[in-house]
Amino acid sequence: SCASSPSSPDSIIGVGKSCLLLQFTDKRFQPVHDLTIGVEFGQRMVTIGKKKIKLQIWDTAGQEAFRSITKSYYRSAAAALLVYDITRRETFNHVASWLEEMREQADGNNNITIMLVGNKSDLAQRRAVSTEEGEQFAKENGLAFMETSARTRHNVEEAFPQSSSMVCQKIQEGAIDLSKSSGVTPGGDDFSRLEPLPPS
Amino acid sequence: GRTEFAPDEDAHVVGDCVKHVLRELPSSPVPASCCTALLEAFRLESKESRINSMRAAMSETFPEPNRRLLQRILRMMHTVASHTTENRMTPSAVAACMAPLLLRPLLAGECEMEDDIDMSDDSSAQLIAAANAANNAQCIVTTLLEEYESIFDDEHPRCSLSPDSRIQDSGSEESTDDETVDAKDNGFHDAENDVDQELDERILSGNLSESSARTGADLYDYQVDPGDSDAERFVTDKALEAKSDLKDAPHSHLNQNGTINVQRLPNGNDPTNLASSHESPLSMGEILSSLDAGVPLPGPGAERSADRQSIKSNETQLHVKRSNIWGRSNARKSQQSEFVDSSGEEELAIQRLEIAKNDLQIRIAKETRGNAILQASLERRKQALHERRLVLEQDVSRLQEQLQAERDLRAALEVGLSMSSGQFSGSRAMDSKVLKCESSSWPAVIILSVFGGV
Repeated sequence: SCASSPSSPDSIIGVGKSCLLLQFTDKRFQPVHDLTIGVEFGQRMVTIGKKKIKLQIWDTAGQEAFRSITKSYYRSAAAALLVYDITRRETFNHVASWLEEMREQADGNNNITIMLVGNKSDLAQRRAVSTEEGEQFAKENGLAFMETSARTRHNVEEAFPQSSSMVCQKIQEGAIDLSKSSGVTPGGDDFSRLEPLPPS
Repeated sequence: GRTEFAPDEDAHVVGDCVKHVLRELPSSPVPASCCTALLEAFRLESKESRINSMRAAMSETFPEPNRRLLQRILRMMHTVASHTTENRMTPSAVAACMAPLLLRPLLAGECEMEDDIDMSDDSSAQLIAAANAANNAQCIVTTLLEEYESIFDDEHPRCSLSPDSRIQDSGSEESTDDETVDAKDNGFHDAENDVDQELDERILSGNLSESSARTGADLYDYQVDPGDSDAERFVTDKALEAKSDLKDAPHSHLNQNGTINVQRLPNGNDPTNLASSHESPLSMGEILSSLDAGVPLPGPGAERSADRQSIKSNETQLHVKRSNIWGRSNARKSQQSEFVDSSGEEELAIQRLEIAKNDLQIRIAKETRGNAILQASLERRKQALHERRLVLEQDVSRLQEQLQAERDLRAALEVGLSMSSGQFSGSRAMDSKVLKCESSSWPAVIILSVFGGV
């Protein structure tokens, strides 16, 4: 859900998850994006360590009303981007409760790689959350951190692959068991599975 | 089912039957092209030109059977409408009842109307167009009804004059009658006359097969197809029925109609029939059957009934035979004794029964043996299946145990593996920030979820 036009009423403004995804998968920006209903799906190949990996991305709805649906997507993911809007303090304030819920639901999947993403970095004049504040929160909670702009593509090409490479690192370290974890599929160059798996 | 209505039949039943027949016709009584022609004619300004062009449409676009059917229906409607004071059915009300059945294509929107083409995609406009079509249809039929004489009279005086005069006659004669009885009486007689007229025309044209081929277009054709034995029987039956009706309550109408019909007969017909019809109030059916392709009535009728009787008696005989052979219960025996009188026959029957009894006993014995064999094989089969089941159950439990053992082994191995990797992890992380790609431990797909919001 994304609507970064400054004049848009707050009720339909998202933090920009769908716009980030659209920019990453389609390399385009859509100023007026419709509300995400439940969960949407995108995918893109990324190259990590000279190997191609398919990144399946589940874009969940931000609204409280869809929380029961989005909850089920915590568990099955290997990585997560937790996005807030740097121009709206309340979205940042909400990050803590998101994190709490995520950890509750993760249910054993404690190896999920979470990156805190402060989106809409292009709207510097309306900034309500400083970069330092974001960094601080990430550090305290063991999260990666990045500020992005779906409009300008700032850090979009970095955020997704970096999360992925962190997952790969965890696999190499043995912290994630490829054969057990639901968020990753083993098989090197095998890309036969093109459809997203339903959440377990 | 019923092909005959008693004089005291409910008028609504008769009316509904007529409408049902029209509704069930495979094609519209008035074809689409004729509907269009009538519609165009109806749209003309002056009444005179409207009627003229309607008459033209009638004579130029209508196939003969369709035109005759329409005329026949219109005459019936005329009869109903001629009793407006009693039944409150004005010509336009009757037209409203019948128009949808007669001008089917017009109401189905199959006739092009130039003013509704451009808004045909709008549903409300479609409703208006449908209402228009219904209105037009009613008005057309009303006009046809009211201007019946000027539209049809000129070219077919025979068809139109006689029913009209009849309608007037019946109207004046039966003004004292109860209104419902009156209305349906007319319907009843009209139907009769129609049948008669059909037949009449066929004889005149001398082309029986052709007219019977028009079945479907003509309302009553299928009832009086002279080539069909069913129809013949129908005529005969009808004659008999009508006769008995007349005995109970002789009706002036029948007589009168009969007279009209007879008058219409061509000269070539049997004079004795004509004479007899004048002598007594004969039924329409009798006249019809006497007209029926020159076949005399009593001959086939008597023969058929005789045949039927003989068939019946044959059936009875068969029944007796059957009970002789198969009847074993007391009830059937008593029945049998009713039919068989002489002691000789009784003995014969006893002999037959004995034979049948022996035969059946042998059969039963055979069946019993066969069943015993089947049952034995079924038991064997059951036993075999049971044994197989036991073997499989043992296999399954053994394999389950094996699986559990393998799982335990795997868990033990995994514990060892994670311990060793845990030892390495620190050094690996220290190694470098650059990830090394080992295809054995590299993911093909990573699932990443995006969360956040208020």
